[in-house]
Amino acid sequence: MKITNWRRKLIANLVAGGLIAPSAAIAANLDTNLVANPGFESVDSGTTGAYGAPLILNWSGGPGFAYSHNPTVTGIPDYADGTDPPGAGSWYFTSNNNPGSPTGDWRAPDLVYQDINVSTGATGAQIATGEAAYKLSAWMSGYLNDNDNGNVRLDFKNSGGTTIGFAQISDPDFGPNNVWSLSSDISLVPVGTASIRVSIYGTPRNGGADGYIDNVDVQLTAAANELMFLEVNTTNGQVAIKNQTGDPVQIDYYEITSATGALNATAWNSLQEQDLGGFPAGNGSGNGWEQFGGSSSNGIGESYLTGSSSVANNGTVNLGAAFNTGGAQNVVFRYGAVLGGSASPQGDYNGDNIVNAADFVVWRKTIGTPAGYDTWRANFGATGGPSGPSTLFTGFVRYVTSGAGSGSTAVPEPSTLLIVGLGLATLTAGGRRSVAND
Amino acid sequence: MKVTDLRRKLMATLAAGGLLAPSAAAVHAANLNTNLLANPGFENVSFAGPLGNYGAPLILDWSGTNGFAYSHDGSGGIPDYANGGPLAGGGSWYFTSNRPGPDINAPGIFYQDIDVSTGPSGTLIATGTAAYKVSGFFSSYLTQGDFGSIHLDFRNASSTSLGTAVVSDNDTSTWSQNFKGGLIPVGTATVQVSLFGTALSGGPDGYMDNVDFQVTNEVIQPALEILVNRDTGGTDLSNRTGNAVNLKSYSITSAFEALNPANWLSIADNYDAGSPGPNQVDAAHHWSELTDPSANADLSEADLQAAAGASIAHTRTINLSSSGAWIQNPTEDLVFQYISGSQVVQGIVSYSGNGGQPFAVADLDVDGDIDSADWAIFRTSQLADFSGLSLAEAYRLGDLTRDRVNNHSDFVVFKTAYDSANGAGAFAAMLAGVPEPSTLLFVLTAGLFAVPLRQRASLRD
Repeated sequence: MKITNWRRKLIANLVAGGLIAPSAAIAANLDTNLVANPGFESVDSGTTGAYGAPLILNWSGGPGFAYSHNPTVTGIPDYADGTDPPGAGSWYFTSNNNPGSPTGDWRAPDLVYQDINVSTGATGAQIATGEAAYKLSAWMSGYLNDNDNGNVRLDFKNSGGTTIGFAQISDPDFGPNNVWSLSSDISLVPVGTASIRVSIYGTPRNGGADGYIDNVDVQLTAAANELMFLEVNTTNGQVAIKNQTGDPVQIDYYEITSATGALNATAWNSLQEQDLGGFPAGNGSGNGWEQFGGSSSNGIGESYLTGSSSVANNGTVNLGAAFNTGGAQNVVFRYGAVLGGSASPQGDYNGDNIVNAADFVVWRKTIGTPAGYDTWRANFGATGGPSGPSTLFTGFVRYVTSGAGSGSTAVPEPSTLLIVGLGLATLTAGGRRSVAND
Repeated sequence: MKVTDLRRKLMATLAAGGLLAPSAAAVHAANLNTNLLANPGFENVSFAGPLGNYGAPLILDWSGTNGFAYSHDGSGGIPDYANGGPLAGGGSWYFTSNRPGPDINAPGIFYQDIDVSTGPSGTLIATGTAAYKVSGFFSSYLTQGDFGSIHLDFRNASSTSLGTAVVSDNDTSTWSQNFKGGLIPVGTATVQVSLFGTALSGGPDGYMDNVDFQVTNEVIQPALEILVNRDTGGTDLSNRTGNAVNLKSYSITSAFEALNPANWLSIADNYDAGSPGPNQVDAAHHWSELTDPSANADLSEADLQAAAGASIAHTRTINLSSSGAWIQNPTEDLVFQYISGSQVVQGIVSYSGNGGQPFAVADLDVDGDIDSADWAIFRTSQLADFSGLSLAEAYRLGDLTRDRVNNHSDFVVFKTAYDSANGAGAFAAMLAGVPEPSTLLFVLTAGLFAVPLRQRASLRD
C-alpha cells in the first residue's frame, strides 16, 4: 500500500508569489494539494504576534503566526524540537501565539482554518461516485518536553455546511522524544461532501498549546488508487475484493457488514472454504484464514492469526454470492493491512512474502530467465515483508450489475498446493490484462 | 489480671524477691504467639515502698521509672478512678500514668525491653514475615479526656530504632480494648514496650490493663479482606485483623462488571438468622441483598433488620463464593467497602492463583497461557452480538478493547499478544508454507497447465 510515497512538493512558493489564488482555483483537481500556503511560507512581517512572529497569509480565522526554521536569517526564534522536515522553508505555524486571548493560543478546531470547495470539477465528480479518498499529511513538532501536540483536522461538510464526517491527525511523539515527524491518514470522503474545512490547532498539556505544524497536505484522489474495494454484483450477489492500488496489499483481516442484513452468510464462499494459494485455510488453530464465528446477514469476515496474505496489484479475491440480491446497498467493507516491516525476500515473485512453489509458477509464466530461477531456488523458504499488527482501512464498495464474479470462481476448487499456486498465477495474469484493456 | 501461668507466677515471685532481672525477657523472647510481657496485668505489685499517689503500690517487673497501680476492687484500700467500673478479667490492679514527681507522659519512661533476637521469634523476624500484635485495655478519669498509649520501638542489635508503633485509647469513657498489628522490621533484635499517658486536663490519667505483646506468624491486616481465587473465581471474606470486627454491611464493586451474583453465597441467603448451622455469621439478624441480580457491577448486602450486624472473629473466613462470583479476567479492579460500627472502612482485596500473576490479556480461557484454545474462543465470537453482556463477560468472548464488540481492534490486540506468547507469525507461516519435496515436484509438473487456465481466468474481467 503506497501510503508514504505520495508526498508532493510545495506549491507554496507559487502561492506566495501570487501565481495561484487560494482555494477556489485549485479545488477542482485530484491528486494535488488543495491547501493554500500549506508550508506557511507566505507571511506578512508587517503584522506580528508574540516574539515578532509574522502573520500567516491565506488561512482564515486566526490570525495565525509563524516561527522560523531559520532564526539567524529571519530574526524570529525557532522553538520546535527536532531536525527540520524536508522542504521546511523558513516558516512554520505555531498554535501557541494568540496574543490577547484568554489562553494565548489556538487550542480547538475552527479557529485557524481553510475552507476548500470540492463541489465542482474533478473532485466533485469523484466524490459523487462514492469512490473519492482523501490523503492527509503534515509534519508536526512541539516545544521542549511540554507534551503539547499539534493537530490537523478535516471536517467534511455538505452543501448546507453541515459536517458529515471528519478526520484528524495528531503529533504522535510529543514528550521527551519529540521531533518533527510526519503523520498521515487515508480514508474515504463521505458522499455529499461539498467543502472540506482544514483546521490547525494545538493540544495543551503544559501551559499554552505549543503545537508546531508545517507542510500540511490535503489531497483528494480516486479511492481505488489508495484503497482496496469490494465489488458487489447486484444481479447475482457475487462479491469480490479488488486491489487496484498499484501495489500488493498484505492483509490479515477483512469484514463486510450491512446494518440491514443485506448479506448472505450461507452463499458466502469464504477464504477458509476456498483454501486459495497464498490464502491458506486455517484448521481452527489460527494457521490460516478462518471465518468469524459471529458471521450473519449483518456481517461476515475472516482473519488470519499467525500470518497474512498478499492481494496482488490488480488482484481479485472472489468471495461467492455473499450479497442478497435486492438487499440494501449499504454494505461496508473494511480490511486490515499490514504496513511496514522488512522488504519482501528475493525470489518472492507473487508478493506473498514467502518464497515457495507458487513463486516458481510465476517465474515459469512471466519471468523465465535462468537468473530468476536461480534466485528463486537460492531463496526457497525465505520469508519477510510487512509484519506486525495490521491497520484497519475502510475500502469503498462498488455496485455493478454485471461482470464482477460471474459466478464461476476464477480459481478452481483446489485440492492440493500445486493447483493453489497455479490459481494465483492466473489471478495475477488476468488482473494485469484487465488493466491493459481499460 | 490473675496470674494463672504457674511459670510466670514463679517468675513474678522471683522478680519480686529481686532474684531475677525485671523484664526477664530472655525467658519469653523465643516463642511465637504468646504474650512476651512480664506482669502484663500489673497483678504483681509491692507495698514495700515507694508508693504512688493515694498509696498506690509499686508495679514490679517493668523497667524505667517507678510505675504505680490503682485498684479495680479496692485492694489494699486503694481507690478505683477508672471510668467504666471494674474491668472484667482485670484482676485487682491496673496501671496509671499519673504518678508523684514527673508524669509518665512519653515512651521510654516506663517500659520493658524484650529480646526477640533468638529462638522462633528471631528466626521468623529474619524472614521478613514476622508480625506483631499489641493490645491492651484502656480507660481514663471522669471527663478529662486523658488517654493512655502503648508504644513499641523496634530496635536492632545496636539499639538503633528501626520503626515504632502506637496503640492508644479511643474511648476514655469506659474500659475498652484496642489492638494494633503489623510487620516487624527485619533486623529487629529487641522491642521496647512503653506505657504512657497523654494529659488533656491536669496530670495524665491514662489507665491501662492486660497489656499483650506477641510476635506472630499470623497474617495481620488492618481491615477485613476479600480473598479472590483467580483459578476458580471464588471469593472469601476473611478477618485477619487480629481482633473481632463488627460487620453491618459490605459492598464489593467492579467497574469492569466482573461480578456474577448468580454464584454469590450471600450472608442473607446462607449465613444469617434464617440459616442456622456451623457457618452461620449472624444468628440474630436477617440480612438483605442489595444487589441487582441481573447486573454485574456489585455484590452488596446489609443487616437492614437492626443495622447492628455481627461480630466476625479473628481468623474467621466466610465463603462468599466457591467459584465464579468473580468473572476471571486480567482487570483486577474489585473494590471492597464495609460498615463496621459507625465507620465506613475501605477493605482489602487480594488475589491468589495463576502462579501469583494476573491473567494475561487474551488468555480468554483463563488457564495461564495464550494458545489455540483462546483463539477458538476469540474466533467464535468475532462480529458476534455482545448486547446484554457485561464488559467482563464480553472480554471473555474477545472484546479486548472494552467496547462490547469483537472487531479489528480486538484482533490486533489478540494477534499481538499471541505472537508475543508464541513467536512471530512469520515463523509459523514459514513452517506452513514450505511444501514437502514430493509436492514441489508436483508443482513443477503442474506449471505446464497454466496457459489454458489463464485463458479461462480472463473471462472474469
